[in-house]
Amino acid sequence: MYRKIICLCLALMFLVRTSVGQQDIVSQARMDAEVDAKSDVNSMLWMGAGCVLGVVGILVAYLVEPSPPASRLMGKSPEYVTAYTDHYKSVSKSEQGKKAITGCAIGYGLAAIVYVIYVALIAAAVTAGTATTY
Amino acid sequence: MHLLIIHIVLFCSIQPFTANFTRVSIKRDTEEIVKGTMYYIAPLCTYYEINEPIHQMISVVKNITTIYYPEEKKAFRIISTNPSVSLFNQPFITDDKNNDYLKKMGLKQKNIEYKSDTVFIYYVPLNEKNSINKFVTGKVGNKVVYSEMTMKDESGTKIYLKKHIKLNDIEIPTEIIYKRWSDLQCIEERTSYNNISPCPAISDSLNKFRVPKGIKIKEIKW
Repeated sequence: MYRKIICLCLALMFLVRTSVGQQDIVSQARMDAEVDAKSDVNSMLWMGAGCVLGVVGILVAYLVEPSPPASRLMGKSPEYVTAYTDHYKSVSKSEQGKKAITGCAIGYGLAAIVYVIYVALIAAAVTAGTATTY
Repeated sequence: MHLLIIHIVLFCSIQPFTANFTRVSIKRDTEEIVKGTMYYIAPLCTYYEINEPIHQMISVVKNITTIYYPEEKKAFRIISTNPSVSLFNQPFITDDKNNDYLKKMGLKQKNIEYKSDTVFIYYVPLNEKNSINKFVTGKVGNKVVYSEMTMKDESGTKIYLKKHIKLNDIEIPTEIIYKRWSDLQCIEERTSYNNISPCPAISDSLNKFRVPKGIKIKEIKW
């Protein structure tokens, strides 16, 4: 009876330990993927895309899938590879999208400023023309 | 991109060979050691059998990387949009053909500096749209011993190539230090190669890299 209880306890401890170990691997993989993805995203490129292409640039940013070097998976377990690849893809797309949105906002902002200046110049020209009529 | 620039041209002139390697990676104060055997077949076609810390059979053919775990009976196939360069991010650099290749990558030679026995050649982008800010190579005689690329977002890579040996009349470094930095992290990888030997009849050794039938391959598109 006691032997059975001890065996059961040992089995439970083994399962918990294995589960915790795997969770560590997954956490490490996700952390590595997050940092790598943020480092790999070409900020200038995607901000430029958003600025120049506007909403199209944002759509492209979320559709284009990045390609990191597979060397990062060398020496890693299957669990790490699964967690890393899944998280890398989602973080990269998100980062690309954010940069494109920022670029798009900057682009529209600049366009608005130019438009306001243009309208102001025209208004000033019209006013000056009206004043000199008399 | 740094790897692609100086990788393909070099490998075009190297015959198939095998080598044992040890790679030490330092990232965020953590050190990882990977040991195994490399089988180089052709440009963009390399196989790796990893023995430590885990047994992996890795094949890198153009834009497809297959990773097979014989003990766990698991396999992955990673399909990239671009060709997969050497899994070490460390190419073997040989001769002056890279000048033509750099031109194709949108770089032009700016100036040359001489420091002791090393000749440093500086390249700049042909137009402003190129994300590369600067590219530098350092050569001692025919051996390229240094390469650096900095991007416009201030990230970059440096590669040091040391302890060259001659293989098929080509100087190949047996020690390579790769450093990569960005605003988020710094990575350093030191790879040493030994027992480098030509292996023309290499195809017989490649059967062990095939994923056995019955093992499900998880496909990942990158």
